[in-house]
Amino acid sequence: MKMLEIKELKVRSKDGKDILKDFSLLIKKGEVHAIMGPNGTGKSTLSKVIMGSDDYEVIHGDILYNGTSILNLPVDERARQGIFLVNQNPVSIEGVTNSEFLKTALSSVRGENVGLYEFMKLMENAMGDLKMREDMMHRSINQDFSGGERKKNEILQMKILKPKLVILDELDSGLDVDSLKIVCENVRQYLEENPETSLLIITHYSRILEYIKPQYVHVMKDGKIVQTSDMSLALEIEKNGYDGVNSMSGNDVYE
Amino acid sequence: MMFMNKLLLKPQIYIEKEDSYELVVGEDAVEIVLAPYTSCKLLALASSKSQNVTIHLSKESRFEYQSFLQNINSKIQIFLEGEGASVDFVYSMLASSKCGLKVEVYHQSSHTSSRIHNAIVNYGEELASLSVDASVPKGCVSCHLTQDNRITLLKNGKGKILPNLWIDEFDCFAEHSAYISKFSKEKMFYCRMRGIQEQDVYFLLTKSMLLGNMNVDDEHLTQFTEMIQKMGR
Repeated sequence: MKMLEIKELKVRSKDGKDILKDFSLLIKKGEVHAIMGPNGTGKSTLSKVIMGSDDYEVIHGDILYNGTSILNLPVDERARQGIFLVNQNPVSIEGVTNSEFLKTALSSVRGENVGLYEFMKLMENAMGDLKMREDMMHRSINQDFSGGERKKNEILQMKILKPKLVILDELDSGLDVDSLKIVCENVRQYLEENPETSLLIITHYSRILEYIKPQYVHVMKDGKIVQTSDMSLALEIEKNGYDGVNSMSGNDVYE
Repeated sequence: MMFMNKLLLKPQIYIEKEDSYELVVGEDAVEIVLAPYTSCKLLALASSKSQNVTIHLSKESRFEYQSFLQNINSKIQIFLEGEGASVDFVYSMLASSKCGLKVEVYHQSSHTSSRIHNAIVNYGEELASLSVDASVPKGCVSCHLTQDNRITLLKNGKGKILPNLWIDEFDCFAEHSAYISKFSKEKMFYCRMRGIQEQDVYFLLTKSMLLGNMNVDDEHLTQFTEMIQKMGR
């Protein structure tokens, strides 16, 4: 069953620069994909476009989620349908507590008001799994959080909101080894508990892929996928760098 | 008007004991005098469309003034008369029609301190304005002045901020910020990315902007939250 299908997507930034060029990708239910590539190839743009950012204009192609185009859906509707982006740099919002924010989000996603007791139990369990301090529940969203705490907070939101398609945009940036292990274990556990959930990992490095093994690894260059293979491709990139990608053999362009 | 520990000579209110007060200001001008070495916290509400409050602070008195209002024109004058007097002024307003605040802070003694935080969220189509003047004359040394003025526009309304600091001494510490904007696009995107509808995001961000700096009891917090929710609809 297809979960996410991106067809020949062309995306332009507001200043007129073409960022994604005939980008195509198919992710089926329960699959784990990784997109790797050097800086400035459009990886983060891709994640924002899937989520519905209006910083970019889709000038050609389509994004289908569970078989239906989502291009005309607003950001919040895409999220309520189960798409979840773990941000590279989550913003901080002074004055809005984590618990208030997340309870509002959960009520929106479920379409009904969530009881306080149920919510607190969910939070306690998820925060325990992520080894987060209890007081973070009552602190403003990401305010004065370290890089690691911000990423844990993103995964906390994922565990509470239970999305069907998760996009991890540079999850490993700003994380120390121990924190990376904790968040990756939680993502892995989430996938085990929700086997129909699909995962798209966007990363520069293969480090995160050692914790969450993808079935498909794609290399992205200049706005499109230039190579697709399995985990061996990530290991080869680690060894030879992205410049060596073109000279590699045995890997087909993914269609 | 609810007062404990009070000596009330209307329209002058003389506060000489440390406590928390709630004051509902009507059309009559109100004058508040804080006795020397007294500290108090006051929550000012409004029962009319305009208010006029004058505050006199004596030596080493500390005054915490908080106000949460809707569509009110206010004029507040603060006189820091005694040495070491200080005021912490937090003013939050929901605007859907033309309204504004004019604050004048007069540092009249040395070692006086004023911290002014004004925030307006303009849900309407008209002008919301903040005019904030603070002055330190020659001879008043080691004063501390902070001004933070923010207006957020949700629709096609306008905002105007006129901040002025007039300081005639060399050793004062002064901070100043003023901005008029819409809610941050990044914050809106972040909240909506978690499934929260636009209207509910406005509510969350308005609440954080207007109530984030306030230090009030749960009952008032609930009351103000309901006012924001009502405005959002």
